[in-house]
Amino acid sequence: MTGCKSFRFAVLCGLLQTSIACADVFWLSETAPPKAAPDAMQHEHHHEMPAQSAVAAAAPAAEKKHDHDAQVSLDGEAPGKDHQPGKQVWLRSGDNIKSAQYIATANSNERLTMIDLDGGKTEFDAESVAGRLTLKTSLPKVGFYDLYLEQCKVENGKLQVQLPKAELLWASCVAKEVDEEAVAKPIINVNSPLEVVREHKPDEGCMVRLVSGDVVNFLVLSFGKPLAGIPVTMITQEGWRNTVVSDDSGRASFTVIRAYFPKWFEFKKYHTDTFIAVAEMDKNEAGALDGTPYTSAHYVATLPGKYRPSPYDYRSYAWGLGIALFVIVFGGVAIYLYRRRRLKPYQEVRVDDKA
Amino acid sequence: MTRLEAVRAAVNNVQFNRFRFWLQLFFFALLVYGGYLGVELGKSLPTFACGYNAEGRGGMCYLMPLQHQMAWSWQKLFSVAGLTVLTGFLTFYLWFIALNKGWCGFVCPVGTIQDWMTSIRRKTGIRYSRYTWGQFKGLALIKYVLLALLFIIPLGIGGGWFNKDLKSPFCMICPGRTIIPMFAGDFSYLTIDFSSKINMIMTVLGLTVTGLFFVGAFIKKRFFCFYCPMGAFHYLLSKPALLRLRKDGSKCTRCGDCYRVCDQEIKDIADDVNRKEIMTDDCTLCLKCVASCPENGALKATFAGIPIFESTEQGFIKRMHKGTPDGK
Ligand code: SF4
Ligand code: SF4
Ligand code: SF4
Repeated sequence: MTGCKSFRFAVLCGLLQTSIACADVFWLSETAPPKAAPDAMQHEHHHEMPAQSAVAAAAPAAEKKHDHDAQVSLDGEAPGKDHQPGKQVWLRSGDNIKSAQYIATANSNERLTMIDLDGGKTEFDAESVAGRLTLKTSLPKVGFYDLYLEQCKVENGKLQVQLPKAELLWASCVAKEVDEEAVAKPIINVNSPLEVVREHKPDEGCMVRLVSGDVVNFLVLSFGKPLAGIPVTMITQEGWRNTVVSDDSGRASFTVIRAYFPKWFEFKKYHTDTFIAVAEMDKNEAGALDGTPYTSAHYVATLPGKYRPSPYDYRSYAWGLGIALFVIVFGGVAIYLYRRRRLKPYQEVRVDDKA
Repeated sequence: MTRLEAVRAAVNNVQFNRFRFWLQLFFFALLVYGGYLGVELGKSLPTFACGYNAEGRGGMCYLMPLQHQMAWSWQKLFSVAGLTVLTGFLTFYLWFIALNKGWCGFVCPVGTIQDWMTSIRRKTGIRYSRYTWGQFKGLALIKYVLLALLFIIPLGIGGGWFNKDLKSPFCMICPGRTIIPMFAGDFSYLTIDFSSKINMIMTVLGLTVTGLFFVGAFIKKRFFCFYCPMGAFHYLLSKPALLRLRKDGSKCTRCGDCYRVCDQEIKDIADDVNRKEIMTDDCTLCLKCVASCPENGALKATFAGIPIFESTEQGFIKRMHKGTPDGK
């Protein structure tokens, strides 16, 4: 049953990918809509930095590992503004990450819930601005936050539940305020009928990110409990996709592909690609939503994420150690020879002394 | 003898090298591994508590935030945000004033590593090198050039002249970046970064300097300190510092003992009998000269004007007889 379902999903999307994307995948994006993009990003970067806060000094120090203002990848998602507390997310529809539309709320009872690392909850009303559902917020402190939207409507007697989720991060490499153990432990929404959770790397945070070649594990949960047999599809910015069915522990694993092949001199190590993980579930449940009856339900949960090029793409130990060793050996030999040469005149003087 | 005098005599008789070794080890552990114990001394330390040692560092070398701040756009640098730069500098200055260049002689992990390498060399029996006077004078300028570049390049980035990859030019060639993280198990800075031309050039330079550091520090005591821009920066700011090195020329016999033990080959320490404030730009305030001086009160370290460690004949003899029965 589920296998069939996943097959249908994959085939459908595959067929329609070039023309219209699967319209029923909703996800929360941190990239501003095209027109507003340059403006909004500039502003956030230059004016929202709190003048005397630790972050102002902290952010620059982090640059070795991530230069967040450097580049927006062509047509794709913007790299994360992870060093700022200010966040804005938009609701988008469609599984083509580059062209997914920005959409509005479908009905008035949609709410956004933000859960922090300690389990604290904040509720927001989902409002549409200029026909787009967006939320602008400022994270209270450094750390990970999960943002959930739940949208329900009845279509042809079927309850359609969209459960897009976003993981927001305010990171500071200098402040060291991120409790690493807490970060490694994923945030879970026990009230969500279907949720995709990405397992973090043990030391994930400001310095450590997902990169090509990593194995990324998604957990499929329902009300906090793992769900087996649910197809999870990972879709990347460049259009690659793969579907894996969750195992008994609710886990679906993917190897993050490499989809960044620039010319050597155009290579950017902070280049960010986006992916979305989509889990779908059908349920035979009957009921009514706002008076409209339904006899079955379809759940779609999404989670976007980002990844960078693998350091193995641009870093070389062989060259690094080779150069250092060469200098050491060459320097050592040079000093040895220099000392030996200087020894000779000294001996001549001794001979003179005796004479 | 009053109690104070007794304490003073005990201090002046101390087995100085041993004392310094343990103190350096303590600071090394604090600054390189302190982070694991939750130590956080801030981002403005006047010493190479390298920020690239992200997990273990117990505080952060000020040169890193300084370069990053200098690379802000000028508009930002000269706005209210510039106050962050000012507070950072003031914190750095307050730390610095307390110990003066004693940060180099006792605290700096990069300095300590060099001292350890000297101990290893001594065990191998290989003799150490010294510069000629001509070399000394010429090479001594390098640290000022590095210090100037450390300001000019980031400021140039803020002005839009240089590539952003040059944001922390000195860090890229600093041996602290490659070596200190290694002590915390992070070897990733021993790589060449091919992600851009500038990153490649800078990491090649950085690993060349690392190679030079190992050869140099092995045969030349405190090899890197002679070129260190932090040391130059210290010297330019050292006027109001509390810890000071003083000399009483009238008591000095110019025996040269202090010069011989000086890792930094500072001639003035023996030759200059006129200057009272004898700390020069290359001095690391290691106080080895004080410990090796046989003349009562010729050299002394003072803190806020109060002598804390003074050369004495008795102390000199005790230290000379280290390990023999009467010297204990
Ligand atoms: S690389 Fe050197 S200058 Fe930069 S933070 Fe580390 S120790 Fe300081
Ligand atoms: S001069 Fe030497 S001891 Fe002082 S900061 Fe530089 S490397 Fe460290
Ligand atoms: S002059 Fe004295 S304190 Fe300064 S570096 Fe030389 S021995 Fe150390």
